[in-house]
Amino acid sequence: MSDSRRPVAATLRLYRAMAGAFPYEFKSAYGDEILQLTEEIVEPIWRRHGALGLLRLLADVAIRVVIEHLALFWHDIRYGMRMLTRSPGFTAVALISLALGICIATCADSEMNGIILRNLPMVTNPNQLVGAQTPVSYPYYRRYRQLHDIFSSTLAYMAPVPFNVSFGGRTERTWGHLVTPSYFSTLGVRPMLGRAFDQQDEKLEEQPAVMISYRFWQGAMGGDPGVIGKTLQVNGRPSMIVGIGPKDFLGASPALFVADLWMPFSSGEQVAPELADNALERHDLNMFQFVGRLKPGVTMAQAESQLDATARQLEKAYSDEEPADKGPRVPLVTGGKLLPLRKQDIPLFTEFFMVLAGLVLLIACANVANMMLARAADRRKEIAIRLSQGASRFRIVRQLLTESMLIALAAGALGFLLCTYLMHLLSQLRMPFPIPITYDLNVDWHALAFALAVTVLTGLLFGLAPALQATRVDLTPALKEGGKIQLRRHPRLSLRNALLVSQLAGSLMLLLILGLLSLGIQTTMGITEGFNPRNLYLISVDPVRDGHSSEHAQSFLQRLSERIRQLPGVSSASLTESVPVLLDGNAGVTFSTSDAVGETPKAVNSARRYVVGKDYFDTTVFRS
Amino acid sequence: MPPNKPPTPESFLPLRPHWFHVLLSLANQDQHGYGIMQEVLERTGGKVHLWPATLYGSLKRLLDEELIAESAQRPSPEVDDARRRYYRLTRLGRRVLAAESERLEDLVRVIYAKRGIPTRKAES
Repeated sequence: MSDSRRPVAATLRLYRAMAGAFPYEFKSAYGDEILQLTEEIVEPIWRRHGALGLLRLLADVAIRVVIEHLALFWHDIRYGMRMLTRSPGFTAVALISLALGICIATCADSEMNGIILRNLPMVTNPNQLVGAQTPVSYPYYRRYRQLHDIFSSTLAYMAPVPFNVSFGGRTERTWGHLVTPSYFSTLGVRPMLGRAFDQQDEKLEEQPAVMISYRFWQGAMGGDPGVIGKTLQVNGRPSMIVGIGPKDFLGASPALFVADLWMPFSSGEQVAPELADNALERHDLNMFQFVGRLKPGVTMAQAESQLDATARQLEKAYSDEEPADKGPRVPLVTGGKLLPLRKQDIPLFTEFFMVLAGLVLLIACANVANMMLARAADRRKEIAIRLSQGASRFRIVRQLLTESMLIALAAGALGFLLCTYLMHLLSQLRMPFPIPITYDLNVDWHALAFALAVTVLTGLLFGLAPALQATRVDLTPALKEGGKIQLRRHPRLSLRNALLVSQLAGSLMLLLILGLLSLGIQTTMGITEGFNPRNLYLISVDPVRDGHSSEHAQSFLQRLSERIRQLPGVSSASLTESVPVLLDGNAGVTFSTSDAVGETPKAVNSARRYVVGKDYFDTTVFRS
Repeated sequence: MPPNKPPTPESFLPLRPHWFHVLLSLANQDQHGYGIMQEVLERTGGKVHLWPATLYGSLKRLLDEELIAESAQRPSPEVDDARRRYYRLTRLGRRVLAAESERLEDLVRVIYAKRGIPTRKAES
């Protein structure tokens, strides 16, 4: 071959390969003619237009291949729409079952993203943050924050802390955190206005500094931009507003302890009675949440073992008792997630949701696939005619798949809308807790991507098997006028039977899970609290937080309880610092073995401690 | 499904340029693909090149719309290439071609009138 002919031969080879990609019907009708024509004109084109002409020739076939496929696809869609509108009953039932399945799957995914996998809002690099699973004492925190090899920065906070905030002539209880000045810098949260806490807040200035949340600023302060530097009465003490947190930021643990107010520990016990009794110096007072930002390259496990070693050293230094258990001292959880979870526990939650969602979706798919199979059997004649007209099996399968994709996409859109609505309803739900906990459940783009993936997969799942089976048809009886079409029958092992069985099995399993869940809820609802909550009322007052002295508060509380006792209809009343089952940061008590000679005392048990009035047990009617 | 009404020639207007050229080249005689391509090329002085894949794509659509049909007439055996198919205009195709030609003529008249220039006929 001469050099001048080489581009021509190469172009022809490439052209033939590309023309091979035409749809089957087009190729069999015109493929030969196109190739013949191209072979005839390729030489003259090369001579007249050179390489540009050859490129134009190749571009022509490349573009045309795409156009022919798109045309076919469009034809399939129109044909599919016609077929679906012809059987509205089938279409409606398929749409509804799939839309429900997709809705549930997307809801589960949104819930997972909304609670378990969602990062704390406004926090920088949330994946670097780790937190201690249980609160620690401040002296321990002080030691942990010196672990500069592990943490680039650390913070501690106390939560939930109620603050009585007075503004505009009224006092409102607002929940917040008492924090180390490093709180905002460690989280990487920048204030929207004013400044965050810094070194100057380590010590108490004339007035304690306070930061407020965007929500509080908008709600209580009317969004006034001039509030920075103004005074806010917090627990009866004037405090200066130094900054406003960014929008959507409600503290380091918004799912458990929402914060609208932050004050540094240096504010002192006048503002925060929680800090009384030298709380920052007591190593037995485990009431500080600890969060650290891991240095790059440091793993959670490394941090955990380092903290463990440090904690054990401290235990030894503070006490000569041997610790009661040998478990890890400071189990770490994700610090940058909405819900603090241990790393190894996350898959448990996510997989539970995924399995449930997948099961529901599979049942919906099996249902629709079964209906498709029944419908395909009805359509055998139509399929046989198309096959006999020269349509390839692939072409028919593609047509049937297009129909199932149409149903799946419509169901996907419907399911997504339904899910958006449900999530909106769920986010409106307020839990009956004293602290305003919000679950910000939105359908996010992850969920949208998930729904789309699920939709496409669903379309393939319920469409492919019926399509393949429907095209395995014996043409002769199918084409006979009025002829009965014999399906291939394997009565025991047919696809429809298998689908039915799996549908039943899946439904049964879901029913069982649902039954167990409702049993669990019922058990929790009827749990024996150990006391009789009937006709029991709780009034929460906090004179100290309102700025009264503790002596004054004490006599007030005494008088209050006496007056209440005398009220008609009240059989008994008592004061208590805390209600049963509330886990606050109060130091518990530890029981040790007797201090016998020559023996190291061992901690054998521990308990929580509540200070209560003398009528406490009569009032709550404790059951033994 | 209700039976489709037969399409009117006007429903095809304005005709796609490629379709117009193909119909035009079949106006006087039946042609095969190569012939249509050459005819269009010569008639337009090389300005319109119907490349093979595009040409057969148009032929397929014209066949689907029944504007052209395969011709049963073949040339004499010594010049006939058995692999080639010949195409002819259908009655509908001829009416569509006429309607499109008329539309284009009207258009040209409007253009000349707007510009205030006489038509070529008037020039000569």
